[in-house]
Amino acid sequence: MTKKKTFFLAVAIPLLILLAMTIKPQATVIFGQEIILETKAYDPTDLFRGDYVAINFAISDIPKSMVDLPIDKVNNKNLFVSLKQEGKYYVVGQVSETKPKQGVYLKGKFQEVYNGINGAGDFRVDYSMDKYFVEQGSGKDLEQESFKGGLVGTVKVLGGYGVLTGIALR
Amino acid sequence: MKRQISKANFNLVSTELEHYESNGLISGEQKDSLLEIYEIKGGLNFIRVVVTIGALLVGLGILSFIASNWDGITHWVKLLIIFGVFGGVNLAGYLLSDNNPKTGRSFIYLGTLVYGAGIFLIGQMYNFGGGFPTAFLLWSLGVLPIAFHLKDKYLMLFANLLFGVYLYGSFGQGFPYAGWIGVPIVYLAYNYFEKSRLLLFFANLTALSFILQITLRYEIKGLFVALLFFVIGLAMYVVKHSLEFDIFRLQGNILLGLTGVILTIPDLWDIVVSAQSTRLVSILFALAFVALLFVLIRKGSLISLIFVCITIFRYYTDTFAFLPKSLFFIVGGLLLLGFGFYFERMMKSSKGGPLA
Repeated sequence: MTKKKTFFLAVAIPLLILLAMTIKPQATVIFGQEIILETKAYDPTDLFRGDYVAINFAISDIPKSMVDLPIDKVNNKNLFVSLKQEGKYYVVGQVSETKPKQGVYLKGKFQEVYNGINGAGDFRVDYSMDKYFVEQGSGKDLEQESFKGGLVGTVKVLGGYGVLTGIALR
Repeated sequence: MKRQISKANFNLVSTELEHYESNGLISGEQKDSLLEIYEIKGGLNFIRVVVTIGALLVGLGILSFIASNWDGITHWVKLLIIFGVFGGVNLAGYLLSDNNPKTGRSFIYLGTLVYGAGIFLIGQMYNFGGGFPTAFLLWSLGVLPIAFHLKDKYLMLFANLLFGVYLYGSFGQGFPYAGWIGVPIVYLAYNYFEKSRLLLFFANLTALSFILQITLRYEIKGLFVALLFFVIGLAMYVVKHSLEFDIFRLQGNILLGLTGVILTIPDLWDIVVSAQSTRLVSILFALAFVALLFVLIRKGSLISLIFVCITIFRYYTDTFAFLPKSLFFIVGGLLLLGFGFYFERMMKSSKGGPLA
C-alpha cells in the first residue's frame, strides 16, 4: 500500500468509528417504540459533554420483592426488565434473565442497595439513561421544575436498548 | 552521520578542546576535526511549539463548543461540521507535509481533537448515560492509526493517555476488557516507535493501571493489592534486564515507596491478624520497610530518602496513641544513628560508597 493510501485509511478509521457509534441509537430513535417514564432531575456538568440534567427514573428502583431470582444471579448482572403501561406511564412489570418474547423491555445492570429504614433493600438498575444533555445554563430551570412537580422522560426502546429522547414537565 | 549533542554539551566540548590546544596537547587541525564529528541537536523548535499550541487551542475551542451544546444549530448539522473539519484539517495536514511539515503536523494533531469532539457530540445527541469511559477508548482507538502511520511518538503518547483515562474511568462501570488488547499494543508501540523511552514509561504506567483494575474486578482485599504492587515495585527495581533498566528502576522505586507507606496503615492488616495486633504488625512492617529504604539509599536511591521522610511524617500526624509512636520513633531514630555511623565508617575506609 502506498503512503498516500495508508494516510487516508488512517484518517478514515476515526470517521468510521464516529458513524458506527450512531447506528444503534439512531436506529432506536427511528424504529423504537416510544414510552413515557416518571422521573426526577437535577443539574450538574460534564467536562466534555457540557451541562446535563441527571435523571432518576422511577423504574430504576426495583424492590427486592419483585425479583424472584437468587441474589448472586442479580447483583452486578445485566437483566431484562419488562415494562407495562399503567395510565400514561410505563412501570416495572417483571424481571427476567432471558430476553422477553414480547412487550416493551429494557436491559439494565442491577446493583443491590440497602434501605436503612426497613432493612429490606432494593435494587438500583442502571439503564445507561441517567443523563439528558442541555444547552449550557438551561439545566437549572428544569431542575427547579423537577422539585415542584417532577418530570417525565420520553424514551425510545428497541430490543432492550433505550435512548432518552426528551424530558418535559409532568 | 554526525553525533548529535545538546548546545550546552557542544560548548563544553569546544571549550575543553581549546584548552587542550592552548596547552599544546593537540594541534589546531586536530581540534577542528574533533569538533567536526559533533552536531548540535535540534531541541525544542520554536515554530513547532507555536503551531502545536495553536492547534491545541483550536481543538480545545471545538471541544468546548460541543460541550456548550448551543442549540442554534442541530446535532446533525454539528456532526456534519465535525466531519467536514476533520476531513479538512487532515487534508491540509497531508498537503502541507512536504513544504511546511511542522504546520502540517499540527493540523493532524488538531484532527485528533476534532475527532474527540465528535465522540462527545454523539454522546450528547443520544444522551448516553453513565461516565462514558468508552468515549476515551474510542478516542484512543481513532488516534492509533494515524500515530502508527506517521510514526509520531507524541500522538502515540496521546493515545496511551486517553487509554489510561478509559482504564480509570471504568472504575465502578464494569471491567475494562479492552485492557487485554490495549496493554500489549502500548508495548508493541514502544518497540515500533524506535524504542522511545517516553512511551515505555507510559506503557508501564498503563500496564500497572490495568493490573490494578484486575485486582478491583476480582475484589481482592486492599492488603493483598498493596502487597502485590509492593512486590511488583521491588521486582521492577531489582530485576536486571536490557530494556531501559533505569526507567523500570525509577518506577519500581516510586511504586514500592508508595505501596510501602500504604502498608503501614494498621487497618489493612485486620484480614490476616486479629484486630488487637494490627498495629504491632503494621509497625513491624514499617520498621522492615524503612530498613529496606535505607539499603536502597545506601545503593544511591535518593527517592527512597523521600519515602523515609513520608513514613516518619505519616506516623507523626497519624495517631495520638503515644506509646506505639514513641516505639517507632525511638527504634527508627536508633536505626538512623546506626546507619549514619556505618556510613561514616564506610566513607573513612579507602573504598567509600556512592554517598561518599
